[in-house]
Amino acid sequence: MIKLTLKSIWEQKGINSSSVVLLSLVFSVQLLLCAWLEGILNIYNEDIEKANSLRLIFTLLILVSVTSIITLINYVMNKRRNEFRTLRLCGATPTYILACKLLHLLVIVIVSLLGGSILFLLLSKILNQHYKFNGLFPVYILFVVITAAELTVYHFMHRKDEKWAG
Amino acid sequence: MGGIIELKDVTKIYSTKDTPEIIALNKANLTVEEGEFLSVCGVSGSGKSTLLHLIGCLDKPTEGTVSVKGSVTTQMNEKELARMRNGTVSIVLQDFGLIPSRTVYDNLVVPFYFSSNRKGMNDKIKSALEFTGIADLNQRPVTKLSGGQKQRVAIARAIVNDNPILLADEPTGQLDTQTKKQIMELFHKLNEKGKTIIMVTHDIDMAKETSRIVKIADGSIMES
Repeated sequence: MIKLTLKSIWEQKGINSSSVVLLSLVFSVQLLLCAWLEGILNIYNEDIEKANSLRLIFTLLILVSVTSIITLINYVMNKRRNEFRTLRLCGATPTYILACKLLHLLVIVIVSLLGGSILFLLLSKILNQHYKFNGLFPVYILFVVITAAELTVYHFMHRKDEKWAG
Repeated sequence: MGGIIELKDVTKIYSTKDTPEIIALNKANLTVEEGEFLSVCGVSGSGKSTLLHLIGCLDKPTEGTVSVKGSVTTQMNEKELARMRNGTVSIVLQDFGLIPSRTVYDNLVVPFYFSSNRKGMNDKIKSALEFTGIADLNQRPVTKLSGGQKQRVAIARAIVNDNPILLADEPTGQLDTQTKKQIMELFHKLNEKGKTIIMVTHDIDMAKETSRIVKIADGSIMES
């Protein structure tokens, strides 16, 4: 059954092309933003007041981009709504459907993250910038964790609105 | 409990934190005998689809009992309800409920993924496609089919597992008059083969073709 789901995920044209490219772009912009802010923070490291106000802007920007990513992922998931409903009609349990959704999300996020990272590396080369990754990656991982947590909350908040579509 | 489907004092209330309670069904009673072709009529929001979802094991009532083919579904867990949807009750929807990016054959395979009995799968698919008159469309993507053809695929998928009960939610709602007739002919043929059919419709002409009409208003069932 997992085979069917994986197969169907890869065969879904709408997900493999436009949605993943779009998400990759968002992720790469995110990385560039992180790197740029990280650079600024390093410059102003000694001026605590300025560094703190920059951190605030940095947090706000992350929150805005998290919301945009949630909207995008929600759009992608909605495109597959029919398929999840069909599986339920044909005898799939809610647990199976949830597993399908999570698997689907995981694939989208991993592919987009990979795509985003490659794009970031290319863009940073083009821009002839060299960033330190030590400070950047913990922030980025935190960003991904926040996104995942918000997605989970979002999913359960909207679950009640769906009558039976799975 | 006597009939193949039995509803006793069934109440279904939908409630969320933000909206007031909606009583979709109010102490509804219904018995459907094996081999019956029943139509359920009523205006929008009267509780028709809720009734179908309860019989189709897609939902559970807030109160009362629903019995399908001798099993009380109210007491079943999600796994057992899923098994009922796979092996006892099939559902045909107005918007067909197909996987759009797949072929007709792929759509008919789906019920077998959740079934323990996959023996003779291809023969069963072939026979369902022949019965619904779309054997030549086997490898065609669903996106390249007309509305009538899509509904035939949905019916073929509903009968591929040989489930004794077929539920149809406005099955002719998106079709033209000629195609409506053809789909109704298919339902009659299935009923002659012994299938119990419950069809939700607001089309009185379609309802008149069935052996019994049940009307729903404000969540209450009235025999016609």
